Amino acid sequence: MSLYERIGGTPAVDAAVDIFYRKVLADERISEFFDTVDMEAQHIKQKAFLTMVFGGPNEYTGKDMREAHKHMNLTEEHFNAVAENLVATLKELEVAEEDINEIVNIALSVKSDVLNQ
Amino acid sequence: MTTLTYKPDGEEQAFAINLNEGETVLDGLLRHGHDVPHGCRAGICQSCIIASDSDNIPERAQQGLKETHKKLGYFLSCSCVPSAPMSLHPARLDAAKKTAKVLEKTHLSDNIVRLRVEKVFDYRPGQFATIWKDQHIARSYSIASLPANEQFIEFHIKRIPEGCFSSWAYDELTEGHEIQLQGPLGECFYVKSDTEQALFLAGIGTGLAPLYGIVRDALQQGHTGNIDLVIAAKQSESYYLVEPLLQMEERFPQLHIHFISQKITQRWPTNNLIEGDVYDEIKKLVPDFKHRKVFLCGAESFVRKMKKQCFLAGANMRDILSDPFLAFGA
Repeated sequence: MSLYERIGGTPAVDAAVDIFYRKVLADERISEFFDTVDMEAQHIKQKAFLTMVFGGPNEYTGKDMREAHKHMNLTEEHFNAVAENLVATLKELEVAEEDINEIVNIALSVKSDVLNQ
Repeated sequence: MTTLTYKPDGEEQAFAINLNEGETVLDGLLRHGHDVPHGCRAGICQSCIIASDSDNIPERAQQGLKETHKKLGYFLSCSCVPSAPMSLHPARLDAAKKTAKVLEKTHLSDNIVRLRVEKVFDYRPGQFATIWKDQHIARSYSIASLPANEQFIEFHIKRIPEGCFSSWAYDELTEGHEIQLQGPLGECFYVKSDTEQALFLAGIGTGLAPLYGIVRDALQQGHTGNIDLVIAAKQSESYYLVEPLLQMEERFPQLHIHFISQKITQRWPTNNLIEGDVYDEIKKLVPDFKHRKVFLCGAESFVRKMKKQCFLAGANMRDILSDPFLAFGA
């Protein structure tokens, strides 16, 4: 069984996205990047992000990641803040420890692209 | 092989689309040369939404969509492999203009006029329509009537000083006049699913019009859960429809109406008028939005701010429906 199937597929993403989006909006370190006029569009972006880190079907490439984040001047602190909120979301949903580790590893795999390093 | 029909915007005729075994609707449309926006192809990004009039839309193709979108027949074409014929068209179709006669015109307050026009299309309370003054000038207004028991479509039009449309509607438009109507539009309406779910509705100014329709629709469909209706205004004297609202509150114990005004300018018949800042007062009224269905209508800035506030206070994104009133370009 894949990671995505194990944690519950699309319904799991649906359950996680509101919790995660609420956390990043309330986190002063990064809220400016998420506080956009069109909350629905932003919500869909978060859903795509979570689907990716949950090992679900996605068409993200390293190049997309780099392009999308290039102009934001992101730092290590920003990346860590997102990762912390991700982990807190997963814990709230009682995702198993080893699955959380696997998800964090997927997130870390795009770190250099996101930070444009 | 499944055969679909697809009618693009602006085309008179529908095209036949033959799907290969296991092929998605999106792939079939693209293969036949139709231009359909799309993105992730994984049922996530929602950019490939199209609509169908058929009642056999596969459940999987509507996963993650709002209930109102499902009701309008919207689905994700990338996630739809139909086993039976379907008829398709793009979502958010621009409805054609229809001619409707003005049946009644009544002044509701110093600056709000009520128009009742012929019911030339069916709609859901909470949706809106665009009224055309002539070939060039049009404005969108929410529909305040109920389709089930009223044989007219009702609009509440607020007079804007020097507004070229509202002055016309206020001063020149008369009963018997024919107007051009386009609709119904919008996705902010009540869908009967969980009748015990708590509902929260907030509107400012004529944002009351769609909410008035939505509340009556919910009650009529047998909603028994708690319903909080917040009506915000700068000054209490600008409230309208107060009598029917208070009567409705008396009749339905599950309905609670809260008038929140920055300034109280006159005596009030009941004790549900609060003086204060609408955002702060709503925080006090409803500290937790978890499991609530939220409807927000009125000025765009109000809707945007409330949407964030409700979401941060625990409402699910999918449970927040809104109808921001956008300013029209001249």
